Amino acid sequence: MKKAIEIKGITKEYKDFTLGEVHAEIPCGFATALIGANGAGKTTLIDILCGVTGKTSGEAEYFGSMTDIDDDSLRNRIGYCSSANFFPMDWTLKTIANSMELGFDNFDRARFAELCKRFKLGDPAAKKQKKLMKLSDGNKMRTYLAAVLARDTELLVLDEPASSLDPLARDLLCDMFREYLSERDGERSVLFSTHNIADMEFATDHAIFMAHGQVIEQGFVEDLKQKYILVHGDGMIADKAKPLMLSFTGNKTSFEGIALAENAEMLRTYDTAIETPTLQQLSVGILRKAEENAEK
Amino acid sequence: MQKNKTSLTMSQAVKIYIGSGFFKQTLQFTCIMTVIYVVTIAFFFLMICAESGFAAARNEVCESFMSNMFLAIDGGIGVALLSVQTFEKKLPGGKFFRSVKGGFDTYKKARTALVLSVIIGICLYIGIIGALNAVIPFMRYGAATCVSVAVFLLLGVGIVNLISVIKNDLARTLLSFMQMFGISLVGAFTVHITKGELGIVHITAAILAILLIPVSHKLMLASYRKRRWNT
Repeated sequence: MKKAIEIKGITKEYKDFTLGEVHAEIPCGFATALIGANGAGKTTLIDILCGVTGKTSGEAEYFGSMTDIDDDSLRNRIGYCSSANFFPMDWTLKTIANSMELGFDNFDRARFAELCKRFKLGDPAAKKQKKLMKLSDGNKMRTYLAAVLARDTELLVLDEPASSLDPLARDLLCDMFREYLSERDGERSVLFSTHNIADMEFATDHAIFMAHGQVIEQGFVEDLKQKYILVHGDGMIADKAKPLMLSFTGNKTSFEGIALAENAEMLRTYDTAIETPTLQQLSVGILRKAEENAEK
Repeated sequence: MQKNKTSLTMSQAVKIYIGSGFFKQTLQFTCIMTVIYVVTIAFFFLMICAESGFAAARNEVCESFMSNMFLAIDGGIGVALLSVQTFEKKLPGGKFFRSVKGGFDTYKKARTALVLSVIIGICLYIGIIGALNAVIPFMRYGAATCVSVAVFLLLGVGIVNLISVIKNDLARTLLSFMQMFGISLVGAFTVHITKGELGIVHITAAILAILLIPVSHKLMLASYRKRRWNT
């Protein structure tokens, strides 16, 4: 399978946090979600992949052959957007268009105007314009997305794009991902980070789970849903089921958690109910297990 | 390491970073400093005039040290703008600037253009005030003060670059403030002490400024790249 990015042992050392070694793959032609709790290292990894932060060691291979993120021809193929304050707060849509046009070879001003209209942000060519500081957090993020989507790129890398958006805007964002991917079927990819996958579940094909600076699980969502099962049952049998489960929450009356599918037969003998987990349920289970391991 | 030598001009690099081109930025800088100075002097003149009459206002504002002092202070504030235009990664826009084509090379061009813009802006500001003073004298030792303040403001540009190399945030901020109100005032005071004569102090300051600006600029860029560009 073609890979948009192959991450080979990337590390980054800070005084109070260490990322990695991270080994992961971002498949070409799909939307990949980078899922993890706050402080898991998602933003650091994204910033390294986009050349915004330097790495301590390791390498990332882009589009099968490119490794130097400081190479302009590679930067032009990647559309990057950070989670907050991506542009100076005194900028307007017009300033953003002026800057983006010079900063990237593939920025399309007409497309930007079209996206601004679609996101109900106004006209970048209008004389009177609001500064970013006067926009709501949601509209700021819409502006950043319009700017990055107005570039003709092959890979979108977005840090927490949905966190400040309302449910309708999140839905629109999912549609935009689908449009972006289908415009050049199989050639474009999306990587986005999130700590709340629930609203982005239908836009996610592939997932990478991170905790404490490490990748703890990764794979296509459909494969992960076959690898793991959602188990719930009566509190009376919780003690028997618990050793076979990866994550466990419950009380005297009932329990629920994630287990490996290979344990399904055994769990069924304890009279548990087994279902296919949603990505949200998988995330909670996998990340909770990582937290428990870290506490040990 | 950045390998690209972008085809961007310095004016284009500035436009990426601040949204307006080199000439507009220089013109804005000059106009703001000139207007602040003229408004400040006019305000004090009119205030004293209303209280004590025209002669007293003329004496207080023009014959005393006031108009010379404000020429230096306004210029100092202008130079200090350089120390806040650092485009840190954690500040709004910081990550965007690090993602544009050319990377650090584009930053280098933008920052160099901003320094040039301040240097040209200072010369234009002092030139305009000097020309105004030639038509309506309002400064004591006007021409000498203009030359001296300009020289010390340019020295201030070099010092601002050097200050930005300091790691400690508190020390950097304190020194920036001291520079803002200190260096240029020295320029105004020395002319007062020498009673309008330009001398060895000014020649030394001019030579120092000429040497310090490019050297400190290079030091600042090297330090910024190593410690603050993409750490």
